Amino acid sequence: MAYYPPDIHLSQVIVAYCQKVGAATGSALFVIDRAVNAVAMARAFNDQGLGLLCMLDDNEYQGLDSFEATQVDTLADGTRVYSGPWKVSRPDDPRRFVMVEPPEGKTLVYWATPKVEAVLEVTEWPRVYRARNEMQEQSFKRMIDHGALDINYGRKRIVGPDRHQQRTRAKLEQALEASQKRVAKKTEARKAKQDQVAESELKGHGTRLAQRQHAFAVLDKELEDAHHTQDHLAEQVQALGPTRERADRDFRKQTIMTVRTLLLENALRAFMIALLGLLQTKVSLEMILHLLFERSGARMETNSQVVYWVNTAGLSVPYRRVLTEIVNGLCALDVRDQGKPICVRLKDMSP
Amino acid sequence: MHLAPRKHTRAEDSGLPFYAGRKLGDVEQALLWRWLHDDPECPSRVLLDKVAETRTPRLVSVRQLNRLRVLWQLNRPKGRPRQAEGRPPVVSGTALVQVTPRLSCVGVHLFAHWLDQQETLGPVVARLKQAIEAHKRVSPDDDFALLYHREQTLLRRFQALFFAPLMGLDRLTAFDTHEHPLQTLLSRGYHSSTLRQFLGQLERINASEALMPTLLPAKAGQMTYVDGHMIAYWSRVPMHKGKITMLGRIMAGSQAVIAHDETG
Repeated sequence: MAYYPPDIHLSQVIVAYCQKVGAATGSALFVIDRAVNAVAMARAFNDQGLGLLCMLDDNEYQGLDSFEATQVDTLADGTRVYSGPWKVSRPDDPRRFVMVEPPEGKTLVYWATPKVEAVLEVTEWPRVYRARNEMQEQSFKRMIDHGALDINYGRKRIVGPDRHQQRTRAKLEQALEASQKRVAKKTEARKAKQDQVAESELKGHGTRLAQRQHAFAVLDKELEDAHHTQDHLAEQVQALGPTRERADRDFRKQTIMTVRTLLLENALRAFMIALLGLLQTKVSLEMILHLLFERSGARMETNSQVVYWVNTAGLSVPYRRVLTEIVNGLCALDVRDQGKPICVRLKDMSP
Repeated sequence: MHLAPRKHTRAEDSGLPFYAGRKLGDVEQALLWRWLHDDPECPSRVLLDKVAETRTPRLVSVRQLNRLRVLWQLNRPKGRPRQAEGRPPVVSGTALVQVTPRLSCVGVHLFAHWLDQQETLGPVVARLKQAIEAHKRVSPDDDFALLYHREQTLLRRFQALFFAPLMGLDRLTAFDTHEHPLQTLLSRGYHSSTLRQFLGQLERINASEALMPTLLPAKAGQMTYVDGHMIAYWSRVPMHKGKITMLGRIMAGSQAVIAHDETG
């Protein structure tokens, strides 16, 4: 997990980040959503020996016609899975493609670097990519709901050069440089045409003089426009003023608290796995949080055991049934407090 | 279908001599029993005053209380108060240690016990101790409270931050403004100033770097899922901006990049 300022696009940091994650976990295959959709990104991952599985943006292809598609599988629901490269060869593009054509609806295209292709069957790509939704989107939603992921911690700021201004200035200066070159070129062309006009006047040309005068007028206008553009750009550079400062957040506190949230999420997942192994009914984490974590109750400790009562007041019959099963599962978990077994019971504690 | 919690026999409740009464529940009886056990000579009227102080909703009469005392053999004999030797001894196997009649977030307590049993936060405290030692070596002149915290204190304060979202405490200020069960969960309550100071000191020892390895799975999966999460940030100071997708605005904020393995 890492924090970055919001003006830095994910594509600028993702390769370095994935390298770090790969070094820490030993995993070299990554799944990222279409936000990093680019040939350059695929090449960067490929050069680093990392595998990347992604989805192709809709506006980059025109259905199956864009590919040299070969059918590799047909799913139970009639969905056909194809694989193949671009129809028109692109030597600098290392991506491999898998196309999924459902009986109804649009064709979806997944791409991956050769490293993924070497490890993962092409028919597996759509399933692995679709798992991303549950892994990430739902996980983020859950962490926002019960892990305070969306809360800002820490108000410290680090003042530094204004990167927005730097980017704007760099762009303008580049444009100004190009404009200056254009003016010089136009000036030269105008001068040459002016000489030709003078030559035609001297030699007494009729039609050619008229043509050259017309071309000279066009060039003159173009030079005037180029001067105008140059002046406008120079004004814009001038308007940017002296180098400004802009602040970045100090992410240290935020990172600590996000690590906290991730630890909590990992712990909750482990708890759910342990508990669900003892239950017959499928229960979601949200239900556990709502039915068990948020409820009040009572506690009694004797010298041989600890008893927790969960208040069932106000619960509907179906929820009560689920809670009974959860409570039985908790008892079966054999949780202890200072060596004493913990016994969980339900009790209607209406006021 | 009968869904009410089953009634417990005395044997099931470790022999506690409670009766399945209509007016008083198990918890209320246990509370009364504890007080009487602590002070068997306590007059019933004084006991009822105590009950009233705890805001226990179901008050009983002195007569009913006396009947319970007879049942529990914790009644005062007739006449003047006598010496305690005359009182029957309490069976050692049934001694109550503590009763908490009203407890919020019961599930969080149970989850905390399960985490204790799994020693989930043990590596966190160990990492923090390492970071503290490293900081002491690098900056021997630094002197702040965190450098002298015992492991128990580190654990409790980190637990307070850890469990806060489950208790509905999103921001640190909520520790001061919202009712929370930290006292029953950690045997200690915390104010936001303490935890803010703790967080500030964690920041000084760069705890985020130290804690990062605790997030690594024991066994890494084949695939790693990576995604970004942006949070908006409001400030009067000019700050670097980006597109905060959820709000659809160009504004200041922060961008987290988080990796998940195949198991989430």
